[in-house]
Amino acid sequence: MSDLTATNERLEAEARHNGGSARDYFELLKPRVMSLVIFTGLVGIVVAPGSIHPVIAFTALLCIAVGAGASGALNMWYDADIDAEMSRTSSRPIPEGRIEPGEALGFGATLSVGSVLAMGVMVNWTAAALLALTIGFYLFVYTMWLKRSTPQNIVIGGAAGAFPPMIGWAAVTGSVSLESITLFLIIFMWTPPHFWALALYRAGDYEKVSVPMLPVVAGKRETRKQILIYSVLLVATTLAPVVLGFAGLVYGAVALAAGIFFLVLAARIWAEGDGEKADGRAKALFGFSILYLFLLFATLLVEHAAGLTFAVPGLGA
Amino acid sequence: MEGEEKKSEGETNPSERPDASGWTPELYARRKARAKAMAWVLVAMIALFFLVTVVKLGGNIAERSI
Repeated sequence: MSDLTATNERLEAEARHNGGSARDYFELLKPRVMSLVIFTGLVGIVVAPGSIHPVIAFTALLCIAVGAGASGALNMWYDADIDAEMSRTSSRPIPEGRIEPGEALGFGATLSVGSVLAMGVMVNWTAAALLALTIGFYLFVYTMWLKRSTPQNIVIGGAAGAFPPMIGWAAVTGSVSLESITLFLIIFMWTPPHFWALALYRAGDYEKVSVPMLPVVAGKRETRKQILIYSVLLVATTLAPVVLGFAGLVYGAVALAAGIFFLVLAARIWAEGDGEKADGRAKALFGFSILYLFLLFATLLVEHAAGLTFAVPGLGA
Repeated sequence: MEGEEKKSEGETNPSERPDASGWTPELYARRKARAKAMAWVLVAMIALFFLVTVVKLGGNIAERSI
């Protein structure tokens, strides 16, 4: 090989390591996950009693978004080794060499501290404490501890993704209440069937990198059973806002109808077993679960924004 | 080897060659884009801090006892 060819290869390698593009850094923030976090945080703000200045509400949402993005960057930094081995994640900026792990760590840490401080100074310190808890929980409890050590990783770790509506609620009220905990519980109960549906048809990926997802450790049969159990618990939890009186009939009808459909999809996975349509059924539930969560929170949002929250007679306040 | 060297030289676009510090025009362009993005973020943050200050202090200043 000539000196010039070697130099070109060295420069190409350096180019990959001499700082990624702005787009690469944006990719570190996991924008798709961030969009759901922003949306559920917005619902927490709108549904909470009391009022908040639009500029402060925007600031709260921005801090939630940046904090969630920072968690994503820190997760990519810590999980770069297994991301490189999994087909779903191998094209992320660190495994592809577009950004160095140290750069992702610095980026994520700076945004984490910045978002929490900004939330505290400009919104309130209850919301800031919850945001710090979310970031810390996602990084230390889920990513560093649970993910590689127990099949219950996403059950407990799912709490990190469930905090945003609670943070939004706290941004308005400065406190934590039964209603905001209910919003938290809806996402908390939604996470296991959502992720296990994905894990059912990606089990090979997780097995390759020794991440003990439920299908890898306990088998697909047990996973299908757990999906069904958690789906029943989820649908029951989604009806709690009606019982507590902060959601009305429209939300109740949507939650019931969408919940029944969710249960049907979960039951179809159970009935199919290891049949040839197994992957298709799991993909159907995974896809619908995203729409389902969006639908529930969108209905809450519309109901409150339009003043349609009429308590069901005999239930709630 | 000599032929390979000539071929490689011929394939390299002069505008893509590194300068004395070893940086190619592509690297400079990428750094410039990052600097621009950072500048926009800083401007947005200044605007946000100013707006929040006005919102938080505005009412208190208007209603202060003189």
